[in-house]
Amino acid sequence: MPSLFSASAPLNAFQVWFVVYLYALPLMLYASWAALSLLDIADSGTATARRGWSAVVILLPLLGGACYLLFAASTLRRPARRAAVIGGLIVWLIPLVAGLWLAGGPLGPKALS
Amino acid sequence: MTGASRGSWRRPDLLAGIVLLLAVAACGKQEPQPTGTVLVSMADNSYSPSIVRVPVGGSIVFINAGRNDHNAVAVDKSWSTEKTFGNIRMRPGDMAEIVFPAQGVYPFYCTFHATPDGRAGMVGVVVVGDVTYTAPAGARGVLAPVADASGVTRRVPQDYPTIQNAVDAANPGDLVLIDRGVYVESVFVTTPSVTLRGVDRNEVVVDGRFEAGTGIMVAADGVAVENMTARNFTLNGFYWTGVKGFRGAYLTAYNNGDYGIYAFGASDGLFEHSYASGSPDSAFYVGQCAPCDVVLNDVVGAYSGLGYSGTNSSGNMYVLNSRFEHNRSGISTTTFDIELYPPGRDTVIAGNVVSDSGLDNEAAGFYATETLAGNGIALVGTHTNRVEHNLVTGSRNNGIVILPILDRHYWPATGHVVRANTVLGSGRADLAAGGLGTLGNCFDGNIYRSSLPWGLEALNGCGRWRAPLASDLSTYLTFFGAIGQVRTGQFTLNDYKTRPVPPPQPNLPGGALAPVRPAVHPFREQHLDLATIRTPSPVARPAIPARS
Repeated sequence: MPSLFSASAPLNAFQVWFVVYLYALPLMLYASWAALSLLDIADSGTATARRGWSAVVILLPLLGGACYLLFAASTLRRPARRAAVIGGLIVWLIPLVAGLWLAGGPLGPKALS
Repeated sequence: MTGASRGSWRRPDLLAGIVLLLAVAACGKQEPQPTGTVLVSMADNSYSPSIVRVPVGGSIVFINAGRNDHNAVAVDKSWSTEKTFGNIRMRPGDMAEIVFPAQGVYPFYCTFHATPDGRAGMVGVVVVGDVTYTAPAGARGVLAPVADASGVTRRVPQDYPTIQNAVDAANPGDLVLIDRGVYVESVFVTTPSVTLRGVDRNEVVVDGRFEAGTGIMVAADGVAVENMTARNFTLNGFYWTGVKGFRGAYLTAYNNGDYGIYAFGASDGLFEHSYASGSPDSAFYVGQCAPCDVVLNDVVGAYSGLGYSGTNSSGNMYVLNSRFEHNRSGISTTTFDIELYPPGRDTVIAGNVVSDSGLDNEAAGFYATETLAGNGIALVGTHTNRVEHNLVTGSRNNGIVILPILDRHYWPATGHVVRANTVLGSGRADLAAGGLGTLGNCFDGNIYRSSLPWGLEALNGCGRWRAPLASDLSTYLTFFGAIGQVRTGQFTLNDYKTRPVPPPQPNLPGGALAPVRPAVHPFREQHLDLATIRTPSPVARPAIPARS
């Protein structure tokens, strides 16, 4: 993934911020939630249910894993599942919204003089 | 007319923007439409652009970009930028949006810097709907363009003390021949088919002394301006607006505060053998035309925010055999909602040398150019451009990059053909495509060393199967990050007033005795043969033809 490590010049905090919180972290959350979900799916339910949930978790990035962990997982403890999903969302979205808020104001007019 | 003031852009909020980002596939290709909003900047003391065409129901956003207070009031008093009753003063940075629901022609003026009849000073015209409008040539009213020279030469200063005097006296087909000297004036041309010519490109200088707005502004069809220099204007060096048929040849424009050589809402034109540098926005700019029928051939754009910029310029738009060096960004085709006819499309960029983009700190610039700084050729929110046989070297970030843009709408960049270019020495990637919806672009036969995403050309060739790996999100996010950087003021700009003075440039062959050719159909006369264009050699760069 060379693009992750290939920043524009001059490098500035917003570029790193957005690459991390709009790009890298969602991928990591997807991987984490999917892995946890598949771990749980492997030890529960019927074969049909396992195939169905596996498809949901893999084909619906983030949403599938989060839904499974919050509402359908059975072998993992509920506090751990909630911590994984809600904690992950907090770690992801609060810095992201803060960055968007800081960078999202109007550019303002040209100064012509 | 209705007026509505506001303190910020009516852009979608950012979360809505994210949703739009995720829904871009639905945007697809759109034909250029004369809808939307036009931005008018208020400088000290003129409007830019000053002749504005909007569709019925469209709007104008006025922004005070000067240091003085301004406003805009219709001559017939039907609308104004008055925010609240009695508050007619727009302070620097203020914005006001006016909606125009009815067809017509609406002259307007600034109550502080113009006469109330809209004839002198800081004045402008709004043309709403499909209305034919030609700027009246003084007391003689509207004149028709002619294809042939009249044989009459009006000399400045021998016959007329100022260029404006000669232009006002000229009839269609006349030559206004300007002798050596520095002319401290702004010229407004409203007579069609006039040719303004200096006897020496380097020694006939129109000088704004950083006080006047535009050097030579043309609002009449078929006007050619040749063989002279415009410098030190707070807005533009040479400017054609709302015209059909124009030519700028052997012109030099440097250290002007907005654009060097500029065509807005103008079609059927030619810029050739000209040099522009030191403009914070762009050295050469062609905006808001569809179809444009405009050619830039053998020009040099340097030390500017953008070497060439085309916003919403679509159809038969050619940038050929030119050189763009030491700019913040070399060439940019862009779509914005603040001009008519979005999205921009169908520009051919071929045979150019684009070098040292964002590489040093010599160029002028302003906030928007900083968001693209370091890119050689940037195709931003536009469609179906052809980028062929260019030499792009020394770009601080990307050599050729394709990006979407989020303005009031989200504009993906699609359908571009990037072929047979030599792109080397880029700091980030020689070829790059970023953002959601950046689809349908193809790359073929380019000489390059790096691309983002990896395999961009191998997996997205022209005329064959293309992989879904067509763009890289991080490329867009670094662009988005640059916008954040600009918004928070984390950049420094060079003062356009102190950019390098260009060396003497070649004169018009034949000089004062060259044939007089009104610019009635310059595009049709070009006989373009793109098949003969080859990629410039890294060593033998193209140059303006030798002085005659």
